[in-house]
Amino acid sequence: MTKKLLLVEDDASNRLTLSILLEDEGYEVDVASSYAEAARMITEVAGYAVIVLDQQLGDGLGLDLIPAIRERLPSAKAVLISGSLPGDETAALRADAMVAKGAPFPETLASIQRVTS
Amino acid sequence: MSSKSHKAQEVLALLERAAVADEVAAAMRHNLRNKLGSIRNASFFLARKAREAPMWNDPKVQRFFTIVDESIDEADEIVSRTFVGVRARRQIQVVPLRDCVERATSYARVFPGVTFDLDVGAIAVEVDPDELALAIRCLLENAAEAMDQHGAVRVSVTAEEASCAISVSDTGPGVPESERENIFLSHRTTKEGHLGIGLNIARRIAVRYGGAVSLLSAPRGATFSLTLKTTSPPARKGAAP
Repeated sequence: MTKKLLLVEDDASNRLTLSILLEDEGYEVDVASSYAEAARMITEVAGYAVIVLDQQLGDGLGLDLIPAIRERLPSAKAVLISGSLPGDETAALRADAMVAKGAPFPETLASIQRVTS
Repeated sequence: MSSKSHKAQEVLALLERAAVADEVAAAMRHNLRNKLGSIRNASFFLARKAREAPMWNDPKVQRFFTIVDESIDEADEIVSRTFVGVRARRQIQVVPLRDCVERATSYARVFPGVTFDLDVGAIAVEVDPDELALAIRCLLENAAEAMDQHGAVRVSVTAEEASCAISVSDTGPGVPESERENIFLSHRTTKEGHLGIGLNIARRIAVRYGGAVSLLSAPRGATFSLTLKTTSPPARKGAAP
């Protein structure tokens, strides 16, 4: 069965390339380009198996969306894409998986598959 | 000026430069990593398509894809190394929070008409005092700049079981509703001629000590709160300081 995935990424090129690669892997991908758009989609759209969050969004932090994900979509897994930021220890505790910013796609995919298998 | 206070000022200047470098480097790393990530993913997609096409038989095509990937790895390595080691070594110690606040007020660059009204109890924190003083100073200068060259910036501390909050309030125009969500974004400022990184420096330092900086709702002006873990429970009301 196709897994539904929400990709939250404010960089347009990253959003496009990553969403196409994930679609090629069989995911049904929705995208959100900001914290605000993601917050709305988490509230309004059901059925996401996994939500891939960039940490540094233009209007907020991806990590701060996790409580809403837990509340609204309790079965969804949260994968946080983050650079080396202070506070990553906290992030690691709250996200289901962490992926380094700019990691090769196979690594990103492996993390997503691990949490959804 | 005594040599001791001259030395203290040098340490603060070094810390300030390191904090600014940290902040600029973080923004640069983020932007470059985004771009490198796009290139890496685009290259991965193109290579996958190229493998199915006759062009893949040309060894130069495969070689060029390898060059793209290797160059991204090298660029990523350069980005990771940038500015590492600029920060001075931290001197963590248990100190009265009041010392950090007073150090911040004495070094804050504000108009002579701006005064500080302090309400800080006897609370100990385990920090690098210079670093925490810099974070508080950023909040003080941010508050002072919001006012019209004169007025009082109020600094108050509230303590809970294992944490405390340092609140810095000004009597300026407050943060417009439309800017409240963006106020912590790097290089975002409503003040002409400013870099817009003071709040980020304060937040980066607070996060280092398990805390945060947030903008509180206030009837007038703006109140920023810096939370920290404390080393001792708060003194009971009426207890000796």
